[in-house]
Amino acid sequence: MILNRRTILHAAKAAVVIATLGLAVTLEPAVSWAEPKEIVMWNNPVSESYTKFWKGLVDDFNNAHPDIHVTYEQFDTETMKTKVRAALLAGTEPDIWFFNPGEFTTINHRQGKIRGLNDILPVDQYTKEGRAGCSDGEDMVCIPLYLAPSVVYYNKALFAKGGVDPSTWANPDRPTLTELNAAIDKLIGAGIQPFAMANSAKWPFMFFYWAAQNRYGGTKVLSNAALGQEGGSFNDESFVKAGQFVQELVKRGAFPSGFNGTAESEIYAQFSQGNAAMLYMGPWAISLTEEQAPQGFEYSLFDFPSIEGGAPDAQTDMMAGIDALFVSASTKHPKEVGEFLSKFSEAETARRFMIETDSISTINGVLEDVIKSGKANEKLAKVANFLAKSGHTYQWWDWALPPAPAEEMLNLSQPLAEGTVTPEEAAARIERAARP
Amino acid sequence: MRGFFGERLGRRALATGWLLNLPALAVLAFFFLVPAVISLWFALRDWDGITESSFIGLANFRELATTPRFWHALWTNAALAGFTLITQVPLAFAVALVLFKQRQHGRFLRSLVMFPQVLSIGAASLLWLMVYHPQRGLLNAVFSLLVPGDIRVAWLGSSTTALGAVIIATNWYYFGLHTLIFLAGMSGIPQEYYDVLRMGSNRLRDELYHVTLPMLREQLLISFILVVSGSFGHVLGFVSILTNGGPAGSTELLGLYAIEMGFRAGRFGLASAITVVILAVVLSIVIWPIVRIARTRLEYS
Amino acid sequence: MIAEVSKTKSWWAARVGRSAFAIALMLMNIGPVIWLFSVSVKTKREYAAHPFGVPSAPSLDNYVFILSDSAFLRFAWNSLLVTTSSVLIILVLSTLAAYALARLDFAGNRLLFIAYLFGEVIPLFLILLPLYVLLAKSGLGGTLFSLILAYTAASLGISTLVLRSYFRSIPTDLEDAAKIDGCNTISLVWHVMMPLVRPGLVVVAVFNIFNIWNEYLLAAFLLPSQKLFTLPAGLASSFVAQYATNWPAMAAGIVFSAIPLILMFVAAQDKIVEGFSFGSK
Repeated sequence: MILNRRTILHAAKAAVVIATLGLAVTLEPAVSWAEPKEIVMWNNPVSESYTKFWKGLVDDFNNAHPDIHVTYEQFDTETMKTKVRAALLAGTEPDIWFFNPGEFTTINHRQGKIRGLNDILPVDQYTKEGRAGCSDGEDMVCIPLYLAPSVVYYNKALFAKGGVDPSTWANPDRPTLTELNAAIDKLIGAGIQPFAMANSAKWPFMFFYWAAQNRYGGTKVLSNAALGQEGGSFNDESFVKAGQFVQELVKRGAFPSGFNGTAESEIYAQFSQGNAAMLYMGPWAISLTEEQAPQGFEYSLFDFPSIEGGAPDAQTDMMAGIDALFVSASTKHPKEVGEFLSKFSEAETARRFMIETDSISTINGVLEDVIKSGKANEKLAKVANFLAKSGHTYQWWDWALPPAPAEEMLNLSQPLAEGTVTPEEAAARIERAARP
Repeated sequence: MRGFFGERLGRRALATGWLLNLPALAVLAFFFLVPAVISLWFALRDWDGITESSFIGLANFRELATTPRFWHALWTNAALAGFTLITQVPLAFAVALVLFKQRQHGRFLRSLVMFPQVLSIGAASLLWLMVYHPQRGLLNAVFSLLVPGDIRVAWLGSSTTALGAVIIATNWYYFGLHTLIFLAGMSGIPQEYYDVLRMGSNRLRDELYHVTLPMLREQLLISFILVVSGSFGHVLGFVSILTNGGPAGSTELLGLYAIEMGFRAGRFGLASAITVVILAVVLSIVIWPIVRIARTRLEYS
Repeated sequence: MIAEVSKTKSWWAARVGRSAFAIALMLMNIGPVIWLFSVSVKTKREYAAHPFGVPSAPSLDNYVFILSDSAFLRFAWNSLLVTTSSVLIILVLSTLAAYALARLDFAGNRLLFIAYLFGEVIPLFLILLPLYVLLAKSGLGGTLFSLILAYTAASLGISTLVLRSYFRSIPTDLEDAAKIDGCNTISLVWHVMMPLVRPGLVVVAVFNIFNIWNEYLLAAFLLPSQKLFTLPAGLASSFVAQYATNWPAMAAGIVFSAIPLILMFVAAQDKIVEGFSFGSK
């Protein structure tokens, strides 16, 4: 093609036309001919089954309500965190979004950015735990999607190979720390990696820290320290002991080498490919394992070990986070949003959600129903059983703590794992970040 | 005042000159200047992004000055820039020298060095993630072939090696750019300068010392500017995917520290202060080379 | 005699050295991309077993997989749109500015030169958050257009300066003639100057295409919807978001995104290098 003035002109004109058309298309996103009420939802692709369920729900709703259009977007956890915070700042947040309840959302609710849901949702249909996790006083500020208690899943074949038999434990559902350490040693002796771990996201390793602190100190100590009430402080002994606990695990060789540099997805890959005998995670590990593991992969679970000499009433506690959906206070269509989200809390839908995505429902009665009907994943049923029998539950710290100590705590994850910070220092730093 | 065309331009040139620059400047003003001013404004305030912000003067800066983490991040940035200047720039120079002398296939090889940039920074980072993987990575696979036993070093997972690993990855990506800059400069040196050198003795060294290096001063300055500004800027994309500042903060650059303060810890005032510091540091480092370049380039006669 | 012998030896040494050098350079620069391609034709299972081996049964399944996903094509279209529009706007704006800087000796000329030089040095995302809020409050946020303008802003500094040096290298006779004929400035630039700096325009266009096509951070941050995502942002969200990273499919996506650039690279390689030598004069 001859690049002379005329062809440049023609090309330029054509490009200008294309650009204008393109700009026209993009500058007017929602104004279409039918002008339905537009609702934007940002969800997290937790697992394939979860995504499939929600996309289906959105499609069904859109088809049933021609005057309402729900636009479904998904962003991974890290992107979601950044985008939501930026959006709340600038006032460009979507109508509905996936997030975790905690200090950040509580503050935003009180500042009037997150909408209370009592008037548009049947709040009574949610279980006590679900409501508790999603409430600010009397107001329900989010929809709890599921309860996510963490347990230790283990590979039956690898345990057998390593000569570890949970039935020999005093409580087969929950080993003591001594019993677990013995198991770890046996596995190492048989050339098996005890725990799967990949910590570039910082929180997977801290799961152990949080659980250990709970066993040593209990939930009251944690909430007092987090909220700064009743003289609570992160310098409490249980926090220091938790640091020692995780460092001893590392020293014992429980984790693969170099885990500070690998991505979270590696954890599930290590476990499902038989490269590690155990992992300590929430119920999403069930879906992920079943999606990735080869045929014939058999696994079971037990609760986080009890610690001899720890806080007496904390030995049956469980770490149980909540993933939830939040609604913007400035949504233009609260009634329609309520209609859409109420679909999720209908018993039939909730039952389907639980079965299809292997999650613990937060709708009254659904959990028991599904388990009784035998349609629940057996591992999930076991987890739910543990939850029902648990003493107290506590949230994931990176949400439960106010943002500054939460960040500091996460930043201590890798140094603690490497051994470049002492447990006392770690506790002191979190305390300093909480109460500067 | 007389212009190029011998006529009196004066005010007309002024108006035309500024008018022609207006659209560009308008875009720059909106997208750079205004946000930068906003940043500066917030640097003087305490803001959690949710409640009202309050004026606190220079308290953010004072806090930064006494926070070890800030100095560590600054040091990491300096180390990154410093090592890149020591490794990437001389290497690019050497390669450019060889390519310059190369007659056979010279042109093909020349364009080859830019090839890494057909990949986006994200893709290149993912590539290097795969290279550095402790169990399945290319690097460990290669080492295991050369050395008896299994090499399982976690290049990105250990705070001793992570920064070096990141530097190598970024050097690989931007290396070609510097090579081309030097190459271009070399081809601009008139042959006469070389001819003046005496024959015999160490020809290459004399060449380099008396002709090439002095004539390439501007290219070296440009290289320097790009490395410094890049280490505070573009490299962030690489680092955020490769290590996200870890492990244990060993690769935490100032930019990442600012992002965390702003987006995770909810301390936007502090984050803005860090941004202001970054801008100030970059500007103050590059201002001398820039002025030097401007002086040589702005001669009109 | 002796001189001839040693010449032969050192001549061979030089040849071997040069070939080794060339091969090393090639491996270093193209090798990773070739490896990515080999990954993209493997199945997930084969990749997990032999990440670095030669693919045993190469298939284009992964490419079919990503291309049949309509979202991916939309990403590609968005990238095309954004890149073309940005480059066009950059070319227009920077040509005007560069001409003024190169030819007109007006007050503030030097100041502007330095300003553009600084603009070249400051990466846009340092002010990402204020920019985001500014865009939102002014109603411009969340569209491809704001992204296009952001890219323009990020690139104006270097584009203007490169074009300026091209303008400077052209003798002034044609302009003098045009001026005498009574040409006004705009048509002077458009009809006379632009064709003359064609190589400069090509260079500016090419390196902007490279940078903008590959840009991730701003796209992921400023765009609120997957519908608007460009290729880098779309790829990241589609594949890295899932817990089970499908590396072969991801590699296919990366190779696919790189194809236009590789083609452009092959077609314009000497222009690029030539452009660099020009830009530094």
